[in-house]
Amino acid sequence: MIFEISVFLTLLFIGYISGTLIEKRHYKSIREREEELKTLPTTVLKKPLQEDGIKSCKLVNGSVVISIDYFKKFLAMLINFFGGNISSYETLLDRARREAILRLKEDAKDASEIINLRIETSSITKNTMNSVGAVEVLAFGTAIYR
Amino acid sequence: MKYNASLPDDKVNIPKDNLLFLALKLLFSLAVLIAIFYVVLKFTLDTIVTHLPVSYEKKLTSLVSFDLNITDGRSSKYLDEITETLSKCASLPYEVKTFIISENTPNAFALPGGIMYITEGMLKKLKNQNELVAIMGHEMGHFKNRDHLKGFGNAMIVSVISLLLGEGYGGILNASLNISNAKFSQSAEFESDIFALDVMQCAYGNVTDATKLFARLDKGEDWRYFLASHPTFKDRIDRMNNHILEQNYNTTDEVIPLKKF
Repeated sequence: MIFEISVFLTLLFIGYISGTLIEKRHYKSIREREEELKTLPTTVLKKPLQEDGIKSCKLVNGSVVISIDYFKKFLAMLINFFGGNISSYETLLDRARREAILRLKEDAKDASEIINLRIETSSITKNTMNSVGAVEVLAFGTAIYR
Repeated sequence: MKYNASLPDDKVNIPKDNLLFLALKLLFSLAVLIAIFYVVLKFTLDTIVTHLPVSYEKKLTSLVSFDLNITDGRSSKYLDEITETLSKCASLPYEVKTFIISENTPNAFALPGGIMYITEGMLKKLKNQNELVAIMGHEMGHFKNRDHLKGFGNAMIVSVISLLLGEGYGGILNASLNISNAKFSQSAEFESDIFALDVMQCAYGNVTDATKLFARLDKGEDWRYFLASHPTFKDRIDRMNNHILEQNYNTTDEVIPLKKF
């Protein structure tokens, strides 16, 4: 029993420490890259901002799979019991979304703009305690070249 | 149309909660909820158990098959005699039957329906009849307080709570409930010890050597007793000695030697 508790607490501790570190580092990288790619116009419009002079277009996409750590999963379960917004998943999905868009932009660095941006989310595994909880976010759109 | 290059606003989609604090807060609330649930259920069950008619208990017992090889148990005239003598003083709601099972671990236990088991291993540890009487008196104390049923009630509550919460919470929940269970059964052990002394004094007119067996079994392993169902032997001996002094029980009579089981 003491063994069970200590395994559980160790997993929680490792999950919390590693999860926090990884998240911090990821956000730092996301912000730097967003700043760098800020000038590439990306919209959800169906038509380009300027319709003249288009030479070519291509489908671009960026996808990312992010896994949840033990601590966040446990916290989500706790919140699940009481209700409320699962804030431990919110940062995870925010990171995934922004990372996916960044990867899409990196796929089309020399484009003049990206239109019709779409984002889709799917959970890779259903979130039970004993399976791997991970989320995939796919961003796709049309890159316009002038 | 002019494209306005801007960065996502971090304040919108990133929750500001401190996750660790949130986790602690929720864990605490959950613990409080479980505690309330446990106390209410336990109180209800204990009330039911203390008022459960004996005939009903026997009916229930016949429905449950125990994980023990009861066919192994043999009765002994000698033990029956002691049981009878003690029963006169104990005024139990049952007719208690005592059986010996061939098991080397020294142990004795009370099962619902008034069945008492003593292992061969326990009998081998005994040096005289007084020690045997003390043990049997102790088990009778469990019958008197209906601890054997309360034990089942406790096990039931724990499994109900674990079922409700699902496996996820696993270890930590069971552990915390086990601790409170252990505390419950420690106090039950103390009560039974005192009961054993009362019955022994009443039936044989002395309590000589009643604590001797415990003194011999005491190995001084204090550290694990926080989680154990039984208190330390030292604590038990101390409490028994206190009771003997308070009640001024006779401890000077000669011990009765053991007969053949």
